[in-house]
Amino acid sequence: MTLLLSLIVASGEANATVNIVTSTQDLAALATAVGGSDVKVDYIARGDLDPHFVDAKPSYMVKLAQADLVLAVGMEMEVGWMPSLLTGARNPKVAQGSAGYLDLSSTVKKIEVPSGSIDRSRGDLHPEGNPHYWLDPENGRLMARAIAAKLTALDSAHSADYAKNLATFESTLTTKEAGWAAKMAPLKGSNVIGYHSTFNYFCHVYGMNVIGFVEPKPGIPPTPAHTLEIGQAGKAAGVKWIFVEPYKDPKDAGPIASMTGAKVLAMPTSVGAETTIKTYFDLFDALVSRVAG
Amino acid sequence: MFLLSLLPAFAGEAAPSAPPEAPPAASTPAEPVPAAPPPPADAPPPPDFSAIAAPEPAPQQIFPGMMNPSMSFNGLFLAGAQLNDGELAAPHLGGEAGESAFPMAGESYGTGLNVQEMELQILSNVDPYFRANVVLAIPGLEGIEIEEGYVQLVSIPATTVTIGKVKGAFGRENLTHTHALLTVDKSLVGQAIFGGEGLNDVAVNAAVLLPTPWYSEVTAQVDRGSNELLFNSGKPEGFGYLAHWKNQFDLSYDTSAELGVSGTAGENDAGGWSKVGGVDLTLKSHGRGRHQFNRVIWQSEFMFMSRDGADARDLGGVYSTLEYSLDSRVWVGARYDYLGIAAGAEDQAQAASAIFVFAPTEFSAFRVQAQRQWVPGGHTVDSVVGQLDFTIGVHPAHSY
Repeated sequence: MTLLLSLIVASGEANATVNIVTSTQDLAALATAVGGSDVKVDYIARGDLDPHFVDAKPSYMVKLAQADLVLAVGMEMEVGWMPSLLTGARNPKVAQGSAGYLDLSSTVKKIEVPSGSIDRSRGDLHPEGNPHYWLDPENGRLMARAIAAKLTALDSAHSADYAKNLATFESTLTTKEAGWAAKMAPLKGSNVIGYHSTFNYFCHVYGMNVIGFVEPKPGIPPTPAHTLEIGQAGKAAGVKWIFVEPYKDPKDAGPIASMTGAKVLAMPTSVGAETTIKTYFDLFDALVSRVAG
Repeated sequence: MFLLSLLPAFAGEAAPSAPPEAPPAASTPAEPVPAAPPPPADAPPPPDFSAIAAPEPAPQQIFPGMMNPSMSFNGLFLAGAQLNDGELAAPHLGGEAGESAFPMAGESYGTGLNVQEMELQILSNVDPYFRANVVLAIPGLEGIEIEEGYVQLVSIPATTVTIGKVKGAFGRENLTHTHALLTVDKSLVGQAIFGGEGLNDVAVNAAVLLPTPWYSEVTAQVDRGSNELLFNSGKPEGFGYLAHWKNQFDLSYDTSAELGVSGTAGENDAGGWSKVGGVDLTLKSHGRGRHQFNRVIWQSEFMFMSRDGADARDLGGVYSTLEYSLDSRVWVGARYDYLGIAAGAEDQAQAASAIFVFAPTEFSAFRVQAQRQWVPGGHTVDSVVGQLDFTIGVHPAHSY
């Protein structure tokens, strides 16, 4: 009984002004950078997991039930689990469409918005475009601004703090971007193969060309015929790397690597994908150092 | 491959080195993320923050589709062979699961091809206060029945009030739609106590999320008490009453446990009361990183019924399933059933099932189940059933 009471008391602790729950660790990193000590931040999808497929655990509903603000990637990235979690949370304050729910895809620059007939015969296609937009650092800036604006709207008493934190984030980002761009400049025009379309924003920013994917269609595991096809295309294009997400098996890229001579790179996709990646800047430091040394 | 045409082509090369494979994260969800480092001394001044406008919120819709409700259609096709005491069973041409081959055996699909079920689900917010969900089922090839059809009041913090025809919140199996079961069929104990359709009635219920650090939900329900096996008193006041307490704990980020206690009671058609109690326990665990889809799920339920009246009878049973996912597409499992706790020999049965599932995507799956049932009188029922499961449209996620 003592344990039960202490747990209940602990659950009621709410020192932070705004209780934020994010769908991914990337958004948690941005929210912490912008919110600073005025917010309490928790997340659902750990960075080493595929954010398309997250268990809708009831324990996440408890987090969302206590949230003042929910931050989501959007673009159907969380469509398989976030709606169920929000329903189970029974917290009208953060229901989709309410003031406490922020879909950050509404603030960013998107690429690869599909056209033509869209159905599941084309694989796990996202109708609103490629949802891995946080891997463009300028989108990180836009996301941070949107978070700051939302926090200001919800908690105007700390608006000066949020503005200061945002300025600090943006200043650091600007400095970091210059360093990342300098390191990546020699790689402009390099041809790469992705496992999934995860790193297309990153490649787009730094002028690398994704000539194809290990997956024959988004979300569909590799087939022998496609592996042969992409291997031949990769060899012809002189592909140097095959980017593999932490939640994909690098062995699947092995045959293509053998055909092309490309190296298979395990690339972090999110904050938290590796123990050393704790901030948004850490993520790009890791990505840049992995391909540019 | 359409992505290829959308990306610019560049020329040039560089020669990076491949680092060792990244280790999995060791952090926990509760771990705070460090704030950004301080700006350099020559950092530019902060932007005009007042000019930043909050984005417009998306229209309130629990699933995408703008003003249209989310709709999905699920179908389950069967092909199988069944041996009753070694004799090949006749085809069951009626479509829907038929009578049991022997008393206390599970419902039968016979030998041959069959349609287990087709199901149309329509789901939408009604307005800022209510959400509606309708599930129309076509069992077999004949007729349409309302499997579920309810409205939920969703604007009250911590509480969901549901009015309509709902699956009773008793344990786990009773709440699970057929296509979301590990096995092709329901457990022997579930079928014996609630019938093939389960506990499913017109009801009013309230589910309250308790203010505990773990997930703890209490559901209380009053329904028509029309379940033919349990209640069905025919009296105007012959309601059924149900209570359910569900708890879910995270043992770690990757491992969780769920413990539930359920009870339902109501007047029966023999002048007495029927009471059913149940306990369910589920353990789930998955791997990290690329082993995310290596999952183990162990689920067990115990149910016990006590029936008063002219045909007084006690009957209890248990089932236990074990499931292991080799990857995102292939998993294997097994189920053991025991029926007849506190019952005579005429009510005792067992079953053992082995299941193999290949799911090309989350929208299609092939399932093969081999099963032997040992039923009263020394009879056996052996079956091998293949099931094709498909879903089109926007289907909500199933319960964890």
